[in-house]
Amino acid sequence: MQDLDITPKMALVLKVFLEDPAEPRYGFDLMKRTGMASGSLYPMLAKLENAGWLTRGKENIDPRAAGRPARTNYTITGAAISAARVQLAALSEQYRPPIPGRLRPQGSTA
Amino acid sequence: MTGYLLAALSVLGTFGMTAIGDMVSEEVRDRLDHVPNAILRLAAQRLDVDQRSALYEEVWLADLAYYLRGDKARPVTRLILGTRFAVGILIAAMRMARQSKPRIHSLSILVEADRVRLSEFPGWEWSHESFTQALNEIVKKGEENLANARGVFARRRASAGLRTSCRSRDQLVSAMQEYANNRPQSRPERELPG
Repeated sequence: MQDLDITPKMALVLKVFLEDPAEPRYGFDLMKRTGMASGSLYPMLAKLENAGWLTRGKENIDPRAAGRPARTNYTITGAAISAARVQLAALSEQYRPPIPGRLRPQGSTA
Repeated sequence: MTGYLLAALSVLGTFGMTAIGDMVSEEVRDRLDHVPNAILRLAAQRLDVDQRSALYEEVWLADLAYYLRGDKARPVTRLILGTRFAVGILIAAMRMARQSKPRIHSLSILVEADRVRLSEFPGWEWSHESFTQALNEIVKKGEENLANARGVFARRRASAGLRTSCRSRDQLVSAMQEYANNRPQSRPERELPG
């Protein structure tokens, strides 16, 4: 599995995968959940798959009965779960606003 | 009598126009449904052959079909949603193709009597150490040749330079090194016997 620089948009996608790591996710559902456009989401999924963070599966339907082709789904790999948690925590720390200075009573100098 | 005939004809005409309108509407609806597919096909053509089937057929087309499924999606809604989905992927595919395409590094070096003319084109990286070394070799050789050359024609030959385009930076540096190593020294012209 390759290391990846996690962007805020990628973090949104990984967060959905981490909610239930065993659950396969579909491109269309991820678009709805993250609010991302197809042009951002699909290249990102391909990048995560090439880096070994996601594995690809096939929807379990009968295409003739459903009247549409089976979709491709993605599942987060075991190694990527811990890596993603660490990266998301680091990103969250990076974006956390600074704690304001301790409030002092008016007129005090110390 | 003529009035009845005109009324009958107008009723028939109305039915006829309605039928034709329905047929045209059906035809247009059917054709508009193919617009997102055509855009996705265009996007797939931007990709490498091995990526094409893995993404176009297995991912994009299947997701588009799911996206536009059901009777709830009306023709205009289907067109708008499908086109938005497909155009986003087309733009991304163009970006991916541009990134995967090897950039051309072009360089032209001309060592002249009083200056070194260097033309470089986009895609160049100046910080590359082996490039600077190879460039210095060429310039040094060119200056030596110019110093040895006597006469107008010899100087013109000596001032020739390297002009090359390569697919990678390493290839370019190799071409420069080869040029510096193999370029023949210009010989001093013979002195005419006095």
